[in-house]
Amino acid sequence: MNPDPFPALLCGLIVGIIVTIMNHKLKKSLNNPDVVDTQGTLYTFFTAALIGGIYSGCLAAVFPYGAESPTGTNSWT
Amino acid sequence: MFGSSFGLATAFILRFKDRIATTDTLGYFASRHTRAYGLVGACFVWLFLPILSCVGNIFDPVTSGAVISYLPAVILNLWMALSGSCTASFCVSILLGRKIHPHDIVFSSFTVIIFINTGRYRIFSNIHIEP
Repeated sequence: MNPDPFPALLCGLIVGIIVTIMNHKLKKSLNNPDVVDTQGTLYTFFTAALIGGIYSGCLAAVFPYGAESPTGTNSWT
Repeated sequence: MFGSSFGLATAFILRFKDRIATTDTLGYFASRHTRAYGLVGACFVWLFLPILSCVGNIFDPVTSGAVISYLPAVILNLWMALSGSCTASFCVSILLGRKIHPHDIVFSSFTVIIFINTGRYRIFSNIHIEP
């Protein structure tokens, strides 16, 4: 059983949920209507990327690298 | 750095072109064409990012020439993350009771790039700097 891909799947799920909720609910309120439309887009991007990046960095520090993991896909060949 | 400098200089020059508000310009709202171009870019991300991120690991020119030495886990990880983000976008749009927006898929796909690279380079940790 290979456990490596599933933390990445969980990271993607978390990021997709945050991005979609912010894009539907918060982007228009975060925009500055007198300046430019992309201010809410930047908040949508970087909030989700920050949360996912912290989680991904924790996983990358805890889990072994895929090529060095005894249970990674390197052992399939 | 070059892109941000170029955008800053362009915005500074265009500031003097006209004094109308941004909301009054024709290109303010996203049209179906810009959404379609965004989806095309997301398709390129889906196709090429997992391969190009680990092409240095697939081919080992030092020892064995252009021969596949092992299957890196990063390909599966990236495709799993992209699939999870797209699936979550559809599910949350259904739960919120609204139509799926193309920018949901585009934003989530590009955010996956950012956080995967963040985890790859471990900016929040000094453990195992170079795997």
